[in-house]
Order: sequence, then C-alpha cells, then structure tokens
Amino acid sequence: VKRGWVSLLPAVILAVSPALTGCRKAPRPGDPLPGLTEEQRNLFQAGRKVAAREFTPETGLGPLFNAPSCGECHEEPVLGGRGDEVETHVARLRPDGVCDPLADKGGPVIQQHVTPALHQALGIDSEPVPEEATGRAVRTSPDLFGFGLLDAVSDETILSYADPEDRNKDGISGRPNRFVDGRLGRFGRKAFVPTLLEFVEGAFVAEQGITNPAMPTEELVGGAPIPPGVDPVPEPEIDAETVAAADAFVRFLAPPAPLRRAREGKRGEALFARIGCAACHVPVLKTGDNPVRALRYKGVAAYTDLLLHDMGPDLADICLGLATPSEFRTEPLMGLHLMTVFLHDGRAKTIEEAILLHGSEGTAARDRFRALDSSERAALDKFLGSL
Amino acid sequence: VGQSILGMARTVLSLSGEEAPVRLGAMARTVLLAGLLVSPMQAPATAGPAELTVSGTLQTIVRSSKAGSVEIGVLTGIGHALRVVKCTAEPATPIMRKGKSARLADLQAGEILRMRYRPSAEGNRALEIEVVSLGDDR
Repeated sequence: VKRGWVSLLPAVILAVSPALTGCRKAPRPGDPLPGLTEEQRNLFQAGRKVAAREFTPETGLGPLFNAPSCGECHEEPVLGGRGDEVETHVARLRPDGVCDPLADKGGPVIQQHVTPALHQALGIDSEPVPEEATGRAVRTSPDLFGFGLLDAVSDETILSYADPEDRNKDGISGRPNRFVDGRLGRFGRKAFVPTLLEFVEGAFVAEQGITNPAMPTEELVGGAPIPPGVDPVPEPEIDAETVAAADAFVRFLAPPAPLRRAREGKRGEALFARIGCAACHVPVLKTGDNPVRALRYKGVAAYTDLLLHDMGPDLADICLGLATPSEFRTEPLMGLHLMTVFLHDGRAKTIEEAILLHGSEGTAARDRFRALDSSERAALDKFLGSL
Repeated sequence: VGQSILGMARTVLSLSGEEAPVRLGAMARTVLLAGLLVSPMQAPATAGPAELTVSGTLQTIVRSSKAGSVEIGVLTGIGHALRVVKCTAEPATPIMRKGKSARLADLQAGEILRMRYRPSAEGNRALEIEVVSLGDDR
C-alpha cells in the first residue's frame, strides 16, 4: 500500500501545484492578456468579431484593397496570427536623400485587388505600381500577439537603446525612425508607425479600403482620384466604436507563451547572448505607465529594440521615413515557434537561413554564428524555435 | 481637403498620452490637439477665438517646397495610409526656425513643420509655420 501511495505522489503534486502556487495556465495563441477587466475583455471579444468580419463593396470594402477582412491576413494558427499573404510596398528615394513614400501616386502600400465596380470603370485588377518608385518591397503579414505590450513601451526606453553614432564601437548603431510628424515610430517592418491605434486605423484604409474617422479619405488609384460612382458607401465607412473594438482586440492579444526549454534550449539561450544577437534582439523590454493595468510596468520578452539597423544591401528594398532601403526594425522574435517563413519578406525558410542573411550591422553576430560547431548551432536553433 | 486635414491631424494626439481603448471622438480630439499645439505659438493679433475654431494645426514633414514658390506640399496620414496635402503660404506668413525668422524658400524637403492653417474655398492657407527640431537622434 505504501509503495502505491509513493508512486501516485508525482501525479498528486502535479495536479495540485497550480492551485498551491497560484500559477496560471500560459495563454494560448489568440487568448487575451491576463488581468484584463471585464469591460476590457468584452471589448476584446467585440474586436475579435470586427477582425473576423468580411467586408463587401456594399459595406465599404475597397475600391482598392488587399483583403476583405483583418482575419484574411492574420489567421494562423488563430485570428490575430500570421498570414501567408504577401503584399507590395513602394517608395522613391530622391536624389537629395529624402524618402518619398509616393502617397500622391497611391503608395506606399500597393493594393492587389479592386472591387468589380472599379474594375469596370478602369479595367484594372490591381493598383498599378508607380513608375517613379525606386524601390519595391515584399511584406509578409506578421502575427499580432503581444503588440499591445510593444505599444506600451515608453519612447524613452526605446531611445535608451539607440546608438546612432556607434559610440560604444560594437558595430551596432540602432537608430529610431520617425513618422511624418516627427514622432518616434515603432510598428511596421521599418518602425514607421508610432502607435498601435494608428497602425490599426491605417490598416483599415490601406489594406481593406475601409475609411474611418481618423482617415476619412480613400486611397488614390495610382495617383488618380477614384472615379465617381464606384464607392457609394459614405465616408467614414466604419465608426469610431468599430475601430476602438478592433484596436482593443489587437492591443489585448497576449504574447505567445514560449515553449518549454530543456537543457539544449537553455544552452542556446546563452549562445544567443554570447554571439551578440541580443545586442539588437533585446530579450525583454519593460512597459511604462499605462491606463490599462494589464499593460502597465510589464516585461515583454519580445527580443527587439524596436530600432532601425542596417541589414546590408542584399536585403535592401524601400526607404520609409528616415529608414534607408537597407535599414529594418529589429524583428521581434516572440512567437517565432509559430512562424513558418522568416524575415520581412518571407524569403528565409529556416531560422538558420534567416541568420545567415543578416548583413552589415548583423555581420559580426552572423559570422560568430557561422563559427559555432554543429551542436552549438542546434542548441541555438532549439532556443530560437522555442520563442 | 481641409476636412481631410482635420481628420488626419489627430495623429499627433497620442502626444496627449491617452491610450485607453475607449477614446474621444475625432473632432473633440482635433480641437484638443489644436489647443495643445497652438499654445506654444503666438497667435496673430487679428486672430480671434472664432477664427481659431475653423483653423487647425498640423505637425508634418515638408514634401516639396520650390524656391520662390508659395505652395508647400506636406505629408500626413495615419499608419501606412499617407496623403499629400498642399498649402499655400504668403510672403507675410510668419516662419520661425530655432527662434529666428526664416523665409519660405528656406524650407527644406524632409523638415518637420508645425503649421497653423485655415481651410478656405481656394485651398489650405498656412497662417503660421514653425520648423521643429527633432533632437540629436536623427
């Protein structure tokens, strides 16, 4: 009888330990942040419906658009996740060094689809790429998990990692991007957009052709106004409450819980720091004060500094704001285990391939990675695959 | 276009620090923004409260400014949805850079401006312009 009790002991401990320690189950992809109020959870659920909603031309879709719903591009493994769609962005780097996002020619986002009415009026199937563009970029759809926490990181925290003149001589010179009004940017592959709300508001227009109170005008069609009669829904096509709900859905999505790390993964974590990856992929950012308690003074294991770094000519595509064609925001690595393709355009099919494509500021870390033996590389891969 | 500027100008509002999911209406925020941004600038002696209510303030980047031209193209928008807005300025439009008076022809593409404007039937008129310094992190 004694032996029987002893053999049951581990199971009993496992069963009662969450209750004893107060541990919460790790959030699954698509879950809301822990610690939200009931009102915030309700808004999150309302926003989930907005994100899943398929718009039609009769409800405001287009006339230029990339997708009829948020969920079309943010769907894997659940709503709010990554997508397999890729889109085209363009810009013109002028001879005087100023970046022109070609807004008066329909840029920087080039819509891949048009409504039947616009097709009938202009005979086009997608927005034309402006001939003035000096760069053309391919962009994958990232997952949105944990973005509310990134939004809650203070500007001061981000700027504390900047070293534009590389004063510490480590070969890494992160610098901030700025939006058109001079505010610090942080969202998007070029860290151009300052806040999550603006990212959501802008995406409704640029991705779905859904005007809203923040942006009550439609995209131009390659620089020309939309022909009369093809967009009969009055502007704005959605109201502020709808935008607020969509914003709440994205803002309150919990960051993906990392996978459990065994000894090899822990060894990889140490290697990640040792070879210099953590200089740009800062493991944890701390959020600042925030009206939402669940976002206030939290650590977010995002593995980014939200700054621009030069990645070398092989990855270069478009300028945006202050970002040169070869500068990209350090891509957050949280949720890496949910990704199937890597880098801003999805060209890397494995994590190792993505590392080997790092250039310029990433060269030293890449070369140290190359110098690792196979077991060390496997350990690093194990660690990154757990994020 | 004037209406568009009013809608777009609220991008700057996050400076007020309001981040809660339930937000102020766009118009209320625009008015608040105008108040926030106009306050450090000296209002023209002729500008009364009624005039200010139909004006707005926009902080944005100069897209184009040809020497001798009175038209400034500025870039504005939300997120990746960007728009070009044109404003006309007159030789008498006050322009300040680092506390000193500047000329319209001195404005450079890529500079950030804080501009008080008034929509009119002829387009947007710049009433007052201040070149904004971004600090040394650029």
